Amino acid sequence: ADLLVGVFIDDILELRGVPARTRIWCVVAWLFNPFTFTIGTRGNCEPVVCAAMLWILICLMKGRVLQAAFWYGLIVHFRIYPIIYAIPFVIVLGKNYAGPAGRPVLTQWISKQQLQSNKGRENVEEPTSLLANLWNFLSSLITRDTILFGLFSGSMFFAWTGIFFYLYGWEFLNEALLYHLTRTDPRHNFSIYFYHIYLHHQQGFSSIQRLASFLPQLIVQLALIVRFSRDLPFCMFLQTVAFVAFNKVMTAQYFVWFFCLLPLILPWTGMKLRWKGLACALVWMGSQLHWLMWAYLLEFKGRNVFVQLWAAGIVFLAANTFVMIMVIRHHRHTPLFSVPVGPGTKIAAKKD
Amino acid sequence: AAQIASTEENPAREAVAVRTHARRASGYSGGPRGRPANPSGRASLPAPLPLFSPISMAVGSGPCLLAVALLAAAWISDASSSDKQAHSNQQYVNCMPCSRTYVADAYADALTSQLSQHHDLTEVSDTTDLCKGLADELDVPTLSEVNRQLVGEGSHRRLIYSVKFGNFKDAMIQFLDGYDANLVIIEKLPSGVFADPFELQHFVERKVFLDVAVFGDTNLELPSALSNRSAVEIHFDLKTSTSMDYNLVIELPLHARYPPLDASGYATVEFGSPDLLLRYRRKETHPDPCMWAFQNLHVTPVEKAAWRIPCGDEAHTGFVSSLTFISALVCSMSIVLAASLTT
Repeated sequence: ADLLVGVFIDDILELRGVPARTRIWCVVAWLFNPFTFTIGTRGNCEPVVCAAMLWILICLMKGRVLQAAFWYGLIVHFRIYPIIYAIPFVIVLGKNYAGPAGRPVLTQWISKQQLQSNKGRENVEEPTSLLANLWNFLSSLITRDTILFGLFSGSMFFAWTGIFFYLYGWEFLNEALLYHLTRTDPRHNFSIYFYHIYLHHQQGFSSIQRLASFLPQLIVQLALIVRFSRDLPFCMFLQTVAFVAFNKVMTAQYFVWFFCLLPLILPWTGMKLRWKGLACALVWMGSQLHWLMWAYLLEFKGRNVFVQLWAAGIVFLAANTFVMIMVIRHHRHTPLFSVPVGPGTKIAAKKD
Repeated sequence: AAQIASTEENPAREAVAVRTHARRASGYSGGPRGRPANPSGRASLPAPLPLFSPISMAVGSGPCLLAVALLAAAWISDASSSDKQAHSNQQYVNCMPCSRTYVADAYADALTSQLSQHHDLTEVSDTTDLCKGLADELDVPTLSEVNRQLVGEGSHRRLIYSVKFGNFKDAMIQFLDGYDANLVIIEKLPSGVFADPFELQHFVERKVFLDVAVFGDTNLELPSALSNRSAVEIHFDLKTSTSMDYNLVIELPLHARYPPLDASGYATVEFGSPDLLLRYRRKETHPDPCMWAFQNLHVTPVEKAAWRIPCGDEAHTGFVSSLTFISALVCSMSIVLAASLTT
């Protein structure tokens, strides 16, 4: 699956017109990423989910809505987290999805040099204005494609759930779905909530506490969707990083979820590896190592360092936030699909 | 039986210790207490003993405890009376059909509130006639020394048993020639410590142990306040001990759960005494039905093993919870701000 992900990354970037040299480096960023191949070799199914998500992206890019819906329903049944992409998918499949030929037109990658020369012509779309006409926006979401996608992926999800419920009964339902409603993970993990959960595990949790831990996650997801959904890979990447960072439990395998999407946004970032890119990587890895040091002292040396470990978790959240903000600020927002304004022009029109 | 019945009032945890002592006090008819069994085989084991204590400690709630205690008490008085009848001049050896792989499954049954093991146990005591044959002219190995130590640091440690048999080497070889013999160690883990069944399975695959089973709560994730106790049963083939000069060293890897909160910052978990049994049957002729004979290896109580595990402090709750939610809010707001301000 890891190799398949590499192939798909190459496919997606090629479809978007990224030159071969840049593509190779992007694929290398996945295949030679020490986090991902370590997690993959220890035996983990996350690359399977990543491969499926990228395949769904390819299907959407090629206009195969039903196939995308099929895989999406299946993958949400397999692993619940891809549900966070549901709204961006629907938004992207909205009014301006299919071009005149019935198939979507992909915005091609433009190098920075071309960008400078094209400055006069608006060929980079701004993120959707927050004050856009809400009614127009909502009505643009109701199209044949969105309804097809929604209904088909939904029925796929319920069909697969039904099959396994028939095979395994309530045990399946409890372990696969209902468990997530009541799970508590007091054991130490990267999440900032672990110590809070451990301190309260004997008393239980009030609804206010549950809501309070859910709210930052929800706010961030909605803000990212509203702002960036047209640039689908970028939106997916940011959503995944935010989802993992604000989740009540965070383990190293979750990092694979966004590492497979990182190569998809690299050609559009204004950040150079020196020194801003490197700074982001070092800050992220450094705070992780710091956390790991305290975790080692707690678990393998038996020292009571709960407070320090919890503080290290907060530092890690801050590092994640820093990386996200840096990526947002240096990204050249480019919508995935473009609508040709008139015949013969290569300019991507502003949307909405 | 009277001693046992009187302990039913106590909460389960105290009941464990009390019942254990009750077991030792009421138990060994004819056998010396606290010393290795007489090689001539006179020491005998009333049928319920390896099975009784797991039942008693598994049950947490009052009425359930009462029911089990009464049942067990009734059964014990039953068994000891039959024991007295059988005892007179002959060996009394505890037996179990070969179909029952593990000794401690009664523990698992009790946890699921199946009191049907009552029938199993009576079934066992009925077949004592067959057992009697096994016990005759037998030079069953005895233990001279057992040491148990908790080794390692942190949340993952090992319990190391050092078992020395008291028989002469020749006697051991003779015994092992004629009999299949296993050492059975039943370690009832205290609350807050668990064994990973998958890890122990690897030991079986690599033939370190003959067999191993974990009964009770094997959830690897939950803290001890939300989980139940468990017990580990290890079968060790004595044939493999010939190279070690019949001095066995057995390692059991264990892991600590998160203890309940405590202001001192550490919780201490203490281990009870393990049960050591010798399980044997004749090699060549497989009598019909196939039966394992058991001998409880009386040992001096092993030294206490204690495990110090770090735990959370309730005093931290205030600032931890508030700072957690505040930082989550601050970070989420910064991201929202950054997203809105991009051009």
